[in-house]
Amino acid sequence: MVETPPTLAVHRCRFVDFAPSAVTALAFPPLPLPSVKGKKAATSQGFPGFGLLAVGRANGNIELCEWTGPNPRSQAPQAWVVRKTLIGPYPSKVESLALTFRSSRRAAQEEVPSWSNLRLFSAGGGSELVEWDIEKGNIKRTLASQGGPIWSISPNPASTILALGCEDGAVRLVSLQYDELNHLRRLDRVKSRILSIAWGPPTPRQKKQPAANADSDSDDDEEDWLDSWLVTGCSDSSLRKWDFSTGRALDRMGTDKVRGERTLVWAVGVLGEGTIVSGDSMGIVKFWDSKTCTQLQSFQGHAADVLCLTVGPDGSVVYTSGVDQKVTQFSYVKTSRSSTDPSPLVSRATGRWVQSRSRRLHSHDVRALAIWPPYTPLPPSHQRHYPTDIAPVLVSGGLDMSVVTTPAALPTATLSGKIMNPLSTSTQATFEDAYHRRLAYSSGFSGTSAVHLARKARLVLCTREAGVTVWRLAKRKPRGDDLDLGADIPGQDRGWERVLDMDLNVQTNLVSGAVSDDGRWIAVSDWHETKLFQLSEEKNGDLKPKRIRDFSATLQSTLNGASTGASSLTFTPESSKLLLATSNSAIVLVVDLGSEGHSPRVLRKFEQHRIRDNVVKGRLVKGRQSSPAANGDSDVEMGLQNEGAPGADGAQASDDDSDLEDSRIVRTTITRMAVSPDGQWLATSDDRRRTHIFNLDAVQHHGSLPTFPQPVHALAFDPSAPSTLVLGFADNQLEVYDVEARQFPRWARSLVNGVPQRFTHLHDPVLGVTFDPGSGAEGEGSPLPPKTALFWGATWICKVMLTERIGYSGFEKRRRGKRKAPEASASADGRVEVSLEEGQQEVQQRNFKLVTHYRPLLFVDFVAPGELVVVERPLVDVLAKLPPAYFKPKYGAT
Amino acid sequence: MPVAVDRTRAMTASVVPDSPLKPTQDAPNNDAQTPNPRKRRKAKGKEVEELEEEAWSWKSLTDSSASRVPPIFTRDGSYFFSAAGPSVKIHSVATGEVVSTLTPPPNSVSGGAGTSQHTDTVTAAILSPHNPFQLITGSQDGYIRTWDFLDASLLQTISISHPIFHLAAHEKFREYVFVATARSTKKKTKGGVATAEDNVTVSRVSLIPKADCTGSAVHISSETINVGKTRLTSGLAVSPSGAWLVATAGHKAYVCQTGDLKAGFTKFVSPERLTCLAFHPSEEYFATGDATGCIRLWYCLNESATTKTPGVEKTAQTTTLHWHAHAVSSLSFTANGAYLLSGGEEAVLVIWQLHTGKKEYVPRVGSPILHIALLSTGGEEEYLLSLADASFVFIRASSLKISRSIARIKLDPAISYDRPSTSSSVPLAVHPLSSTLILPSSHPSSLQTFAPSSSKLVSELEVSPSNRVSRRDDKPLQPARVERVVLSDSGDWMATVDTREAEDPPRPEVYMKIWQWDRKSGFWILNTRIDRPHGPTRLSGIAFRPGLRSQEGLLLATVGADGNIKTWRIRSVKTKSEGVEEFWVARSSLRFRAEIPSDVSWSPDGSLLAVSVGSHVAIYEPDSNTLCQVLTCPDCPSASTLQFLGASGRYLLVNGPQDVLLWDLVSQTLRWRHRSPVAINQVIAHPTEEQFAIFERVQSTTADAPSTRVSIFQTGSSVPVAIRTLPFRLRSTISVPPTGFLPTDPSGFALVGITEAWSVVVFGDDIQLPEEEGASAHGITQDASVRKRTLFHDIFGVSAFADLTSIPGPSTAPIPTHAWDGKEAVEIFDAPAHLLPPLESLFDSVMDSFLAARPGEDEEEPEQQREDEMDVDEPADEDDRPAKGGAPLDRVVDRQEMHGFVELFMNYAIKAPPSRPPPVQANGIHKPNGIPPHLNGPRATPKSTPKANPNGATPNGHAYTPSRPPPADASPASTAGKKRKKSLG
Repeated sequence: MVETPPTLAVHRCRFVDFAPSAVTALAFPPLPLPSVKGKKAATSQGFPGFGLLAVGRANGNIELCEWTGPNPRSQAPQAWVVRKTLIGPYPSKVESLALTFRSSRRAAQEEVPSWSNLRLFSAGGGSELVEWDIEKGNIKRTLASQGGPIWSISPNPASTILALGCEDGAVRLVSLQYDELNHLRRLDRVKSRILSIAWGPPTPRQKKQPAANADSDSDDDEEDWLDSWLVTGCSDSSLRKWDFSTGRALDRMGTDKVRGERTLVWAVGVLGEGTIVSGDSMGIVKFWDSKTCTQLQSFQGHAADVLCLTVGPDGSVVYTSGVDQKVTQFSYVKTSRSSTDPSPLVSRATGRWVQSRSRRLHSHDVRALAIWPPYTPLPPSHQRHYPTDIAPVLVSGGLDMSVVTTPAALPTATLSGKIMNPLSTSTQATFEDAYHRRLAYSSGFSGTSAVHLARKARLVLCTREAGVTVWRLAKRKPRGDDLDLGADIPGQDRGWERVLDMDLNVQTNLVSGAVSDDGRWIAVSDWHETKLFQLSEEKNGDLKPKRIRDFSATLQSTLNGASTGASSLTFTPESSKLLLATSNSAIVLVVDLGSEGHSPRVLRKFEQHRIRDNVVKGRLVKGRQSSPAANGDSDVEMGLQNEGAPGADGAQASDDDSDLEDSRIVRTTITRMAVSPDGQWLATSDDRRRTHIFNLDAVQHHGSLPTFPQPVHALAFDPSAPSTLVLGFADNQLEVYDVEARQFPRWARSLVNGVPQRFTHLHDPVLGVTFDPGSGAEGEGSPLPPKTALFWGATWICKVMLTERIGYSGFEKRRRGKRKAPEASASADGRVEVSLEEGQQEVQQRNFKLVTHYRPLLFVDFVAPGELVVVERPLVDVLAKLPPAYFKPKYGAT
Repeated sequence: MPVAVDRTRAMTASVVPDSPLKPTQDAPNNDAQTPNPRKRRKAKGKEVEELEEEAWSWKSLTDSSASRVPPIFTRDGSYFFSAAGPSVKIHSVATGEVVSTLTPPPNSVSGGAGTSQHTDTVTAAILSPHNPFQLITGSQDGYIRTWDFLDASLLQTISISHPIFHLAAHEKFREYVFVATARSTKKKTKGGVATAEDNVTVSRVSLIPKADCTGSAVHISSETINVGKTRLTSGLAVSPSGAWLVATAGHKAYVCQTGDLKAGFTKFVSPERLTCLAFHPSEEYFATGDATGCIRLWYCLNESATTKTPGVEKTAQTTTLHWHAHAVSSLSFTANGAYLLSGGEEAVLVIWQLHTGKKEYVPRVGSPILHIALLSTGGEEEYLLSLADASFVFIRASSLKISRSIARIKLDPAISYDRPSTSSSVPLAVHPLSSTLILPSSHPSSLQTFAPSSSKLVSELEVSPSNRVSRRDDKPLQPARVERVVLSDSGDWMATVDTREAEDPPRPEVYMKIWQWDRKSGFWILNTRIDRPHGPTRLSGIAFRPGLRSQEGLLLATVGADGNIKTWRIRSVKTKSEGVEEFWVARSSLRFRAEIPSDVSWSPDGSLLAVSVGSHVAIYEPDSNTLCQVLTCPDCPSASTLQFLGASGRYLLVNGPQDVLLWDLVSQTLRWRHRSPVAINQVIAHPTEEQFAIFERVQSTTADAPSTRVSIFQTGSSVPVAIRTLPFRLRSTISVPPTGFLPTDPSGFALVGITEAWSVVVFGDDIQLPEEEGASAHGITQDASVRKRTLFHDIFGVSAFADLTSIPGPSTAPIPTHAWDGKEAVEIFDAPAHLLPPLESLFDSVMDSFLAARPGEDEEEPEQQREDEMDVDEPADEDDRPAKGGAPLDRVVDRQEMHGFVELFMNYAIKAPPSRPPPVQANGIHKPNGIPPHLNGPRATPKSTPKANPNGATPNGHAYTPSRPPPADASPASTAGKKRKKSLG
């Protein structure tokens, strides 16, 4: 093995036409308002930990991303990773997002706004406002706008009121109090669309009003702050300032316009001291004085429409972006004026705004901007101040489908010392100089892959929003032929064929899909229904699906009429069972597919994921695992109870009020499942970072793993040792667990505790781990030694030998070795031989070897021993399908 | 041509006895057969030693190249300073002329680092912030000098003893200047060169000298505070409030609070190398330009800027303005702070409106912009651009048009687009009609004409219009280069050859262009363009047929590397509208065997055409193209040039790389041969005398030693009669006809050359050039500067009332009293009305006869003149407007009349030569149209221009037509009427 570097046959698949969806909205949670008295000293408060990031996409899905840093203030090379995807109805889209607090009192106690305390609202271009249930992952309630399509939504700083800008020219205020959603009132109507809304800084209540004439139905804590005014960007070349108390337009600010055309004010923002910022369709960014409603300054910041705008954490910087793909920074500079010759042209203010920097971070229109820490317009006396030694992070997204994160420290911060770049992209952390980073898009639900593989049948399945496509990979030629690359590939056909294309009638976008190893079954699920298809091959090689009609009914009977949608689907390796995790209730079902003639039947349902664990600060820790063993036992008992008559028991195990009492139920979604190659073990992991192990032979719950600090991203059993479970986490840490022994094996400790920094600092998180199925049979048929895992992320594949120790300096020779990678691999969809060994001979450097020339990766797995399938979706192919980006010819361009 | 061939043979044969036939014994034969030279030579061996190498007198016509110092305006805006080498020139803003020159006393210090002449260059100059009549300069040899520029006196010299790069001062700091000086380091680069250039110390220097050195000429400052160290500074400035000192150097901006100099600099990093610096006039921020063309506005001058955090690269809040694709070379804010001007290599002035970011452009200012200065003294703002070719351009802020430019010869080596070093490719010619030199310009595809008599650049001619700026990272565009320029003897025709090295097929693109002199406009007009006159090869020789002939006889001979000898002639075609149209066509094409001709020359009378072909010289009779004679000298295998000697054309001078052969065409013998030990640079025949000069490069060892030796020969012997030396090397030399503008002894040499350093020099025997006005230090009288442009001037032009208030001092002196004589005026109109010349030409004459400018008039005089003019105008106008015939001459001027005046003044008065001084008018010599005004132009003082010279009659009378046209030419009624119609229409 060591002497001859093992080679793997690689199917480099670029035919998968998965298309990610454009980013249309970004939202960070707000920070709670400081106390009016100022006693809590907002100034002393440190840098808030990085919060949740909500990414709205054009296909209606909303991705909830979580910071991967080990603690809220530390660097995280992976930045935000998708923790959970909220599946949107099909067809739908997300145009605007808003995050508010459920309870600001609770929020004030938290360091990072927690999921459970957040409410997420979205508007999708229609007239309905949608509130999402973040925990369950579905729509909680909707509210009609009563005024036509909603163009913009904006919560007030206290998170008590949501303002909707409607088509009919009215701003509607929706009360959010008491965790409800009710129309509150409507401001005056104007004859234009309300394209953007921003709330003015709230005024602190001076003293308790003697008569509680102010909206008495308020929490006294929140009512410390009174909303004063709003400003809206309208479609008739103007901005309007509204009085909150009367609901009347106070003033109108006219923007520049071309004759005969209306300028659309796409974006508006308000700063603490009252300055209004607007960005319009002429590319002009204007600063207005809110008292007089007169223009302070105007910048031709962009060549085309300004679509979005965000204010930096301390209110001294504004970022705008839009159709011309540039993100432009405007900074407030204090000007100390020379007293000798005051120019009459300069205002008497102590500072002014300057257009300081412009960067092109995207290849297509930028639709959304957000910055963490978020800015709340507060009066200067209550202004938040953040320490300058951590750079804020600017997040932007647009039609080019990727979220881009940029460290955005101000140059003035460099004066006081070193600034931490939270993304660790570069030592520089200023917006001007720091490197930005693209977050890789995930193809499937909650960061999983939309691509699935049937090994025996050599099928590749890809789910889209409302359809699935199946390709068949050609058989690999004998090895002798493979050596002769040049003559081989052009002669044969492309090495793949599209065998099935299926559009489904779905209510929501597809959540998950699976194909059985023998290629006879396909299971596809949206949020509400799982569909099972039996495939038969036609003469021309195409597959013909036959839907199992009564599958839904079968499941429903088990689930007591609840929706049968699955968040995760897996077939067992021998293709006899389907493992299904329901989307709403997080129940794991074991379905026997049955032989010919028999319809599938549910063997067992596990509800362990629904049970609230004995948790310490939301985590199940290792120390506690053994002591509440009774708890685990009781679970098993319960499972045993149900075992005998699944149908009968299933009836009583209804969705919401099952045999588990309500207090013990937690809402979660199972995002990942893995079955051991011998079909004995099932591992499931949910978005509460819990992992449960089931024994499929005994059809029993086997146990649970301690909760890890980061969500599980990759989950697989080692075929050479089927009870060894390998886990990869969002921050690129690894874990090895022996399922049978219920312990973390000692032999893996050194590896797990010493993962090299080059691996943990990879910018793209682990997306999957896979093993060569042949390596189980004593290395025969596989070029890889046993216990060799292939971890992969969006831009890399890494070979890790679990038993080896880490060769320190394992990555230093990487670049030199890379040159030896065969260039022939460029031939798009053919099979090529790629040496994973990369020509490195040193024994101590054999571990943690990276291959980075496939990107971006959607899927990596072994289709057969020694035969790897790598599914790539080159960004250029995706972007080529987009309409051309705004382009202005420049000097020097040909 | 069998006949010709036979004759050739015959001729060669006849030559044989005289010229050596056997190549092997050539050299001895030569000596043997011409014993005379040999003996002479032997004798001469001593003589040469006896001959003293006498230095030739020479004078440079050009300034040294454009300086690093931006031009500075005086406080009142009537003068500006420009540094030129070691001295500072004071220009008048109104005229652009040099009023005075401040030159430090030569090497006033002993022990200064500068022994070489270039170390005392002025590198920085500022006006003293306290006394606006004092100028402070810093120079490379480390002296800060304070001048009183009104009295042109050096007030103080303070030695810093390190080269000075920048100076800055502020009125808050009395008697202090901030200086960026080279820092002495022990470190040396690999080449052993001290890196002092790269290490700069910025310090504050007191201008109060130490007490103990009051007596000496050079003082030492009493106090020097070092502020900090920088790289080589590209700018140094104090903020308008005086609170901040900013230096730009390398990739950093260095900021220091002037109140706390001890704290040193805070460094702010720029992504690119900074090239220039400018402070906003009222707000506390500054602008820098960098090497990639970005302009940054830095907002870092506040209290936090001074916090010290070591080890961290600090950046500042900046705004980027980006238009320039090449490095920005200069920035300047307007006085109100609303606009920023920037300029660079693109030769485009960009005006940024800072509040909107919008920009305006003044394109094509002529040459890369080096510096921008602003003139704003109450009235209209003007921008002064100092260009890379050492010229200045004024741009009006209101119109953004170039209002005037001040230029001398533009030959800056820095932008000469790395010309090939071969001397032959530098075009140089003398135009006798206008007494100008035709010189290469700073751009190789342009020519410029320079009048040495007035020391003014007359015009610039773009021979091959081309794009001048290429993209930044691309290979620079290969410009078309004018390689040759020849003029016909009459001065009416000029032929230029421009070549461009093409990339794709590696052949040169060659264009021959023939230009006609337009006597009316005094400019060259392109007549004919011939693409690739010799196929894909270069031209190696081109010559007009000399001698006075009709246009039909005028021929142009060219030889090219394709082996052809071509002649070109004028063809006239009658057209319906314009009469006769002339253009050049190919007339004949010859070949001499299969050889490649190298040069072509005409005998002085134009009867013979000699072509040097390899080792032969073929002589043709041009009218019939018959080969008359072949002169062969195998000893000299490749003759590079040949020329006829003297006015009679008896001798033919052929020179090869190291040989000079003198053939006697009458005896058909080789008179003698001279072999030079070193390579011959050029051989110049005297235009009239039978003598010539050989230029040899001398491998000089020391810097001061002459590097060019000139041996002057006469036909009699191969021993030079004189040897002259010149302290520079020459790229190209041309002899000036003695009738020209250089007043020399006609038998001596008068030569114009371009040195290797791209300066134009005049040299020869007894060269005297008119001393330029203002070349020395003069006091400036304050009165001269009070003249301002008024609205009246704008409407009527300055010349309408030629300098009523102030008459230039030097020209006032000799005015012959000139009594008013009405007869003159009468005589002018003493002709039938239909034969009268047009009014344009009469106007001046009539006015001259009425108006005698008298110096020292009192206040009433202008009034008087105006009335006089009106009186005279009235009858003249009546011709135009018969309807107004009987109008009484009352003083009430109605609107129509006013319009008439305005029109009249606009049309006639402004067209008159500007600033025509009274003496010329007083002389009454009035030139009809057709003569370039500068022939006896305003500056033609009797000293500089002998009266006979402008007419240009050569003594021999065959080379030059008198440029004074016959009177009939000047005022025939028909042509005059035509012209008038044109002007009216």
